[in-house]
Amino acid sequence: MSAMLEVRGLSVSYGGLRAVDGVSLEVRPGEIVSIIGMNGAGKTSILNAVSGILAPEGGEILFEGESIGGLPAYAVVARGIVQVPEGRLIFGTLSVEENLSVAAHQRSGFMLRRRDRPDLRRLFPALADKLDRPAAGLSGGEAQMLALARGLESGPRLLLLDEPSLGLSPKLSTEVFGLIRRLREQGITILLVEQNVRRTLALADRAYVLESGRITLHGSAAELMSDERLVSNYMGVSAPDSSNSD
Amino acid sequence: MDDYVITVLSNIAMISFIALSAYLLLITGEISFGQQAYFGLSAYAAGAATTMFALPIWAGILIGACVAGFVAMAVGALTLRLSGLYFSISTLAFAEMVRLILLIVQVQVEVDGEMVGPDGANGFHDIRWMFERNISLTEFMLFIYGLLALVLIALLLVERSRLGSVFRMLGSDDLLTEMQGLNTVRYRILAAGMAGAVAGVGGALYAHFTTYVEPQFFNVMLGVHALAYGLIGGLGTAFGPLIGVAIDVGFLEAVRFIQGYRMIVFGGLVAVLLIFMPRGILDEERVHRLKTLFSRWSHARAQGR
Repeated sequence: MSAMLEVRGLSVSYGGLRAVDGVSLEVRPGEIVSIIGMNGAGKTSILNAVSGILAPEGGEILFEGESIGGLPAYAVVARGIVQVPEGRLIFGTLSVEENLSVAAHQRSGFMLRRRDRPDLRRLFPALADKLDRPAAGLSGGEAQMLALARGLESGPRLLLLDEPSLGLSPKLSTEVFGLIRRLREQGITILLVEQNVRRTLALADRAYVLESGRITLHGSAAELMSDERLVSNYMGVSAPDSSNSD
Repeated sequence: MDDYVITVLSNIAMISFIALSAYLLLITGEISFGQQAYFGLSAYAAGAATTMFALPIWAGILIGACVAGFVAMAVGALTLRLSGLYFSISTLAFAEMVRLILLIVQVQVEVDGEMVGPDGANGFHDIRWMFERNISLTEFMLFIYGLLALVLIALLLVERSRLGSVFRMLGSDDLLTEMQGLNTVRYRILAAGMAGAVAGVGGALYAHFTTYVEPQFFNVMLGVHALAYGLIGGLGTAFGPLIGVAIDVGFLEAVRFIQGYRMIVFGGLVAVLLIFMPRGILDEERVHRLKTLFSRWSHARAQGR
């Protein structure tokens, strides 16, 4: 099966410091692929380069065979790649409905708003009842759900998720992981960056281990689960609520 | 009503246009010190349309608003890629440039044996469309308020629309807005054009209300006031800047004993509000609470019947 997303020799630097150093990875249609690594390993930088927020210094990014490296972020979304950024970034002064309405922009009219949201009610029942509330008043879990729901409004074929369970209670984390599974069942391909290695490997098809900007290990989730070095390095120390990744 | 009251009320309405113009940019997160340029450009363009080309006033207003809107979009295309402070400074520089150019522009033509048109530092006199048609000050005031109501309704509709959400998103997080698949520069240019056109409507009306305009009126103080109105009245709804104008032009000008201290009182008011209500009296939160109250009230009323 040919790759949906193909990253070849990607390098990203911040002010002379190389955050991502010659990373190659691929995501095939329908897969959940995960990037695992410590804080500062460069996971978010890879996502940001794919979604057009960071200009790659070197290497190629191909989406469905076409180069998207260096495209502006909005144009990458138009291709069907949507990133849900880390930290539950939502527009606090806007209502829940307004947060959602804008992303749907590409799929329907300019001035119109949609009132019925059957998809939302099915996947995010807690949000569907709070459409008129200001987003700033949502709880952490609801805010993460809103960030995910908003990402879905753009109609992604490839969803880039950056630490979706970060800072959430175990119960809410379970909900988020369950949701990711349902999204895959709907045919959305997912590239997932997570700190919660054990749960991520239980969910993902394949994973890449990133250390200091380089891929040091990759394979199927089952293979990695039984890799002694990975287990001792990450699962022993993986803190579910560490504050920041990059 | 005596002419003084009519003039004050008309001023409130005409200044409201430039306040709404600055407000539209404020909600997208841009601070422009140059909206007076579009007010002035349109005053000149509309004045030229009705005097030099003998067009009716609605055509003058339309031309003025279009000139202001397109110039604002062109300026926006050049400057909106600049971030925050640099954008603000460039708007100020542009507005001063416009004012200085208007000081030297002399394009006069003879109409019915009289020379009409911009006359450099002497300003642009005899924009008498209203008086030639025996339209009273009161009637013209009502016309101004009618247009203000139209512009206000249009802005309120925009705020309720998806476009309004995009504008507010731009004001809160540019990068996150871009990640929604929105070309932020394009939306900013659109906002700049709309803001320019709104200021333009006010400028065109101003030229015809006062019958003459001079570049000195469109100095930076007008632009700074326009910004302050939104910050006082609130950035949560388009009614906010109108409250700001009413407080300054209406209250402070009407209360005689403040007269000599008006700028001091106004400046103090802005400072105090910025400390205690950084997004103005009607900020997003209060607007939301008012909306909730109103919908509960109308719901209760509907059930009572």
